[in-house]
Amino acid sequence: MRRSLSQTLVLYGCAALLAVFTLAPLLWLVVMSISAPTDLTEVPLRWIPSQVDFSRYASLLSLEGGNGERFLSALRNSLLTAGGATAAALLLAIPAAYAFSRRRASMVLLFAFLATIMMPPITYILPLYATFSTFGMLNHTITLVIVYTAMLLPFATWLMKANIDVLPLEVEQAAFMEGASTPYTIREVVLPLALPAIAATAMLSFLVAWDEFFYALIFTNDLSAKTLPVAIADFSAGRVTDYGVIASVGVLATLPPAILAIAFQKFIVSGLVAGSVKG
Amino acid sequence: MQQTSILTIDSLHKTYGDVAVLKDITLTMEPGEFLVLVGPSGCGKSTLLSCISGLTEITSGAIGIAGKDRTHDEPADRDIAMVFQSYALFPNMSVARNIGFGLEVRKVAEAEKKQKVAEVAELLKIAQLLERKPAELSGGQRQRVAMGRALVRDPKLFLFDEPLSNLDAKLRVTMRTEIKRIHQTTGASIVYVTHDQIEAMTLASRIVVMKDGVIQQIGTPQEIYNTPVNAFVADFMGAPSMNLMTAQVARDGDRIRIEIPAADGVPVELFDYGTPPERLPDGHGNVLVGLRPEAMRDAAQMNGALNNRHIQTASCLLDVVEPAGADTYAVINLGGKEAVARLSADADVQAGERTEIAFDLSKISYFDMDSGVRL
Repeated sequence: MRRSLSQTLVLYGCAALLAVFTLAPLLWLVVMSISAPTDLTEVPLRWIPSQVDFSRYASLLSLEGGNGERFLSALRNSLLTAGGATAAALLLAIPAAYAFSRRRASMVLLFAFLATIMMPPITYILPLYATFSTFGMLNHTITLVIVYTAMLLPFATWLMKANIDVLPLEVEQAAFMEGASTPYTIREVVLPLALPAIAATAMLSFLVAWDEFFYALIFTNDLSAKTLPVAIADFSAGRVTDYGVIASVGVLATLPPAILAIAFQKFIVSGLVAGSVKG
Repeated sequence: MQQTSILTIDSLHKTYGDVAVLKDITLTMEPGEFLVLVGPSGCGKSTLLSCISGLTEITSGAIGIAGKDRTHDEPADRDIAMVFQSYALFPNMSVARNIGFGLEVRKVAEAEKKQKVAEVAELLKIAQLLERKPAELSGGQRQRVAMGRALVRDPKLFLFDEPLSNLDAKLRVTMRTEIKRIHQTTGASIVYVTHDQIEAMTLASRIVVMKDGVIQQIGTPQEIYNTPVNAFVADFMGAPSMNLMTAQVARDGDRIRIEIPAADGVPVELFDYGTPPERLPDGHGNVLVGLRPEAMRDAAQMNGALNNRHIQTASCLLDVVEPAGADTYAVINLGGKEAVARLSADADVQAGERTEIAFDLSKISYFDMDSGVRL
């Protein structure tokens, strides 16, 4: 179908508007991170920095000085916490999802799981705090991993179940027919077919854990366990708030999930089911 | 020595809630047989296969395979292999691994596995495809891989679930021949489900005709074709199907007098010398008379055979004439039905004209008007 010039203009105009609307804050974040401190406090605001200044990135990425140490240990903690929770949640969610999808496990149970994420986190804070405090587990990465795994599990299970539901049943029946056990079938037949779903679930879970602030704020109190969202808040809570530093931390904190998304993109897009049944 | 039956099914019932899908199925199958389950959609043939495979738990009854009771065994323990309608290949594995999957699961040594896969690939003419993925294969090739996966383990019993229904018409005929060839060379015992009665006729050593979860008839293709036990089997098997015409029959000494009303008011009168008259109910009555299209030919082609007393001629009004290459089919309005006569290809006939039709009564069937049961 051919579009007239005016239609094309409207179309591209709308696309551009959407792009500006979603990308402008991110762009401003990048600009802030490389602007001189004086540029950021000027009135009226200076949109284009007078000079490009990468010194904040340098200080954040070097172990010399407080900023670098605070940022790098928070980055390490975040990677461990989000990565660990995602791995644990997937490891538990996949067999659970298979049970719900193919072995007629009670749906009531799944809905009970899902109900837990409908409660506001504040309701869990007190009992969790008391429990972890009793066992001396406050301010540990492993504690956050446990909390995040519990938080991610219902959603990951539900997402995986929905994806296993649509896989061709006959392929699994064929595997059972050939004598394969359920774990062998899941590992060799179901998982390769569900790879796009697993990638999507892993990415979403990682993002949720990566951005989580509230539990991390309450359960951690120093460099050994604090995650990036808490660290960013700390940067803004000092005597003098350096917006540039906060912006730089923000940009750097966006990178790991962004890299993850790009790396997993090919799994998410490709249709691996092609060729299994008639096509 | 008495051979053990490869498959015995004893009064099997299967119900889903209140719906009885299979009712009192009993059958036995000997080694090397090619048993075809055939029937219209929803007759329960696929469910029966699924019960034999163990993928569906049965409600009551017993299933024995190769002399062992397998009623409640897992599919993997039944010593069977199945070819699925959708092929159900593992898309992430090469053709070689697909075929060898059963051996891989059973931890067969690598060298032996490789050799067996190669042998089967050779048999199925897919040796050059072993490294490919299923997505890179055509429909017919996928079908061969699915069969290869079943063949490689050399199980006691093979189950085929409508394996050809996803192929185009031409390939279907080729693969049908291929399956028959494999059956002949390997002597495998096969249970084969299809809704296609031509597939059933060409492949089967015995056919099981099913309807509404009940076995209608079990027999060789010839038995099913020539002596169907009821009007349903007569109508379902054969293409075009058997002509079932309502007719007045009466005992007439040692023969049966048949009068078939025609649409133009001139009834066709025939005498059956082959069937003992006692088989029919006494006195006058309406019955369904069954004649295959090939038992109704053009008299002009039958010159020599006309002395045979089983072959009688009558003048009929042709309703429609359909040339089909090897034959010409003529539709005649007889006994309230559109009866099809199979005329020779070069028969000089026109729709709307009268022609002498030769009726061959040697293979005539009679069915009860109400129950449809063979008399």
